[in-house]
Amino acid sequence: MLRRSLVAALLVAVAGCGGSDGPDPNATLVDAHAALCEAAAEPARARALFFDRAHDALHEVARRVEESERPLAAQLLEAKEVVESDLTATRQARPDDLRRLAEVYRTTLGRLAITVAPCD
Amino acid sequence: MGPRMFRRAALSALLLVLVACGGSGGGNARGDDLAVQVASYDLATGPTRFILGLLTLDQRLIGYGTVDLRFSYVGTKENADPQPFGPVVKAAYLPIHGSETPSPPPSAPEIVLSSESRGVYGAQTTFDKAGFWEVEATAVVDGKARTGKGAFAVNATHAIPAVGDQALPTETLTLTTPDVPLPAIDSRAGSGEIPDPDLHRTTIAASLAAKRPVVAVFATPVYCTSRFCGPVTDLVDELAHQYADRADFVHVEIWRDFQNRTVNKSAADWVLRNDQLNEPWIFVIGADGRITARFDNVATRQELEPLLRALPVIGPAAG
Repeated sequence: MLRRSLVAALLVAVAGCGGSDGPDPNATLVDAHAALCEAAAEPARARALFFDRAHDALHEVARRVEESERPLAAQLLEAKEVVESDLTATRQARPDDLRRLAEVYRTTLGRLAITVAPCD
Repeated sequence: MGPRMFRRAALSALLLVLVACGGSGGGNARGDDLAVQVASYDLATGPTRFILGLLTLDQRLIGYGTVDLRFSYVGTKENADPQPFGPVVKAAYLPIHGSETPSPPPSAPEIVLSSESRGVYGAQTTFDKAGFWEVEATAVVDGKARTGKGAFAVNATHAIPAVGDQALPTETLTLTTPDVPLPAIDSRAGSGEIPDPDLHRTTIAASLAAKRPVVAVFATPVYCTSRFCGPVTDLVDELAHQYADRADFVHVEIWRDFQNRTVNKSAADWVLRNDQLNEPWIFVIGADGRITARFDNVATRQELEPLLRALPVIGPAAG
């Protein structure tokens, strides 16, 4: 009885940890790239696009490659910080900085075998 | 495997899973409809500030108002001893610096956009024993109670300098420290300019020697893992301009060289333990050299400003 309930509890906990009914994590990462491209094309919406759709994904991807691709993780975080600083201080970011961030992010996604097309 | 051994192995596995899930906010298979991200670092027995982030299961942030927290002791790796949840503790929303909080702020929790507000919920609580603990958070959003759980570890003692400890007399890097690459002073200096020079004019050691209170922020705004380093450093920079006549303000960059994984010695002395590095941290140090407050991960103006206002005006630092 005890053994059965322990196994059940463990299974429930493991299932809960998996988060299988959440959104596809890769879809969120791909969407973040689209958001950066949109932000570069539409500066007026850059702040919302960056913080609402891209920011967390950038951190997540940097974290995933940090061990194996340290220089790339550094490049990604540096490019992110340039954009984030501007958006925080002035609420605007330069389209060139956003495009550069999108490109570094695209390269980094590639290292995770996630393919996205460059911004138009 | 005998029943006793099996019980121990299974409970240990369960604890490990609970703690592993605690940071990532899992738990929906247990009937939960909130993801809980425990945001506190270095929890230890005794009274403490406890902070957590709340998200919907589709990763939308919850902000504003207050939420109810209940804590339950789960056990140790060697000895599972699950206890029922304790009484409700109210946790208030702590928006990070730069959030655009409406006035008056919403009184109840709601789903918020990251571009408008990011933050955590914080409460004062007390953990009476070391081991693994679970927190249950309940937020009433749009009239519906949503709950989520997260697990975390509480140690017998703090690993990082804590309130009451003597501050370490650290020779932190300044603008005049010779032979130091600028990004080692502030990771944002890649373009050749230190964005917050006033936070790099003195060292913790010098301030302690001068018996001046210190607010020290340990953060790497560029290479931050917690996502809050930039806003927290900006907050301290802002306060430094307002309260320079009451305390010295010091930003300690974490990385000497991020790419080569070299941590600045001054940062390592304070916040690197057993290869574990969490940031940002803010320490408030009194004129007597003792730590009077510390903030892990998130700190707000509302928390820091009363501490600064309580300090006597002593004038700006010499030189």
